[in-house]
Amino acid sequence: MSAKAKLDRRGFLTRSLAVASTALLGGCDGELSEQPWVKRILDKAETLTRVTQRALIPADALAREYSDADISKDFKANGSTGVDDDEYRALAANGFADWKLTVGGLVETPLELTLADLRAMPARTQITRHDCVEGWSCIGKWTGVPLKALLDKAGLKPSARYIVFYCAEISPRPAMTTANITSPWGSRTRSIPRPSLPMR
Amino acid sequence: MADADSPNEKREIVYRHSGAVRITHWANVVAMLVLLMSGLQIFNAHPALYLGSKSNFDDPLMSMRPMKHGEQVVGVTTIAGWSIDTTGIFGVAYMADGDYQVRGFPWSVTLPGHRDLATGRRWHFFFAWLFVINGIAYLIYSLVSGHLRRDLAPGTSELKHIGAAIWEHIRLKFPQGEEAKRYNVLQKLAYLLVALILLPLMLLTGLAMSPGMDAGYPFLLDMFGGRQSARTIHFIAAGGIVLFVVVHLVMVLITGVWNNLRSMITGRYVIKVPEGQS
Repeated sequence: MSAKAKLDRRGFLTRSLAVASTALLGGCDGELSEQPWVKRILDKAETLTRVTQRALIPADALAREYSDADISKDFKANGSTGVDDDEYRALAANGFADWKLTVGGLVETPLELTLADLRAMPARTQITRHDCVEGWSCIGKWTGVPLKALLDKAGLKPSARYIVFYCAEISPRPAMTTANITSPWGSRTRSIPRPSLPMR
Repeated sequence: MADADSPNEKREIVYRHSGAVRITHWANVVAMLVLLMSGLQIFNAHPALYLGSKSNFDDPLMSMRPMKHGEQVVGVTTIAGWSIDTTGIFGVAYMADGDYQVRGFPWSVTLPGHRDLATGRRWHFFFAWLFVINGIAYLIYSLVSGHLRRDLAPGTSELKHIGAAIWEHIRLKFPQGEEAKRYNVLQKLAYLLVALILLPLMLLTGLAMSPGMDAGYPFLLDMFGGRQSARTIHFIAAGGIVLFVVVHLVMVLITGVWNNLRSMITGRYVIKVPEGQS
């Protein structure tokens, strides 16, 4: 074994030990999780998960539907119940009559739809489970235009891969892949709640 | 080779653990440690457990939460209706300046070591893949090589004498000589319980928490009685594995820490054979 190989091995062992001991000391790991190379490695599993789920889950699989009796009596607010924003408060005061849903980006026909426009479109009602990333679940009844209908109206360009939702609240902007939405699964799990429900 | 301390014994070196068992063992140690710590980070995002499909926030099966006790905020852990004050450990912790933090498990045992659910989930899923790939490799090896049948499956006579084995363990009398070459019946049952029941249960309950997997494979929900039950079973099974690790480490310590460690690193295990028995 050459001196260089020995050194590399020692370097590797030292690094492994450093990583192992840092992982052990969760309380002081702040740095480890912030390291770009750690993030890069952890991201690999996200890709593997996405590809595997895409392969394992049938494209037409729908979220389970529940009965009226299953509906949660206390549906926990996900995020805040009121948005600390003047524009939002003005819209809310007027029953969202002036509000418009903007559909833009990689679409053939960018849309601007009012609440009345949305209500004129075919709606679907479902009782499905909401799983919060925090770990809890609530069952609610949702009515609204299936997302697929909206996207068909706008005409997704083939190059569109992700959809980003802009909320009145600034922080949560979950993105989802177009594959999830254009399948019936997407349309059932992600229908748009009617604003007549308490805005959450 | 004669042992200096006991002239009536001789030492014999046996090859106890195959390379595959040693590698998968240590890979599992790393995976389980990260999974446990990142799992506690994820649990801390909502430190309560429920039964069924949904969370009944008023009546959790288990919870760690802050409560007002007069003027003082205390951490209360509730299990099946029984509440105990766990301030400083679970629920609420006071800092040096008198301010307090609301959290489930202490941040010293989570990964990352502060509230960061998104990063905790990334650690968890990365090491879940390592755990699954490693576990499948172990199971295939165990079946094909005969490790499962030869070393782990207890025989009928062993099972009949399980009472004696338990009694010997209670008195901390462990197999010596020839007998020490093989796993004893309690060891076999403990390893089988973990490898074939608890660890696969962790995987299945983990998958049952995925909304996507639930849509594709709704039997995951029915198997465990709903997503919240699956989450609860995931937590309890994790506790079972922690309990196993504690007992495992105690046994490693009291039956010869260096000998056990060496055998899991190099494969070689030293047994003491009384003279006349070879």
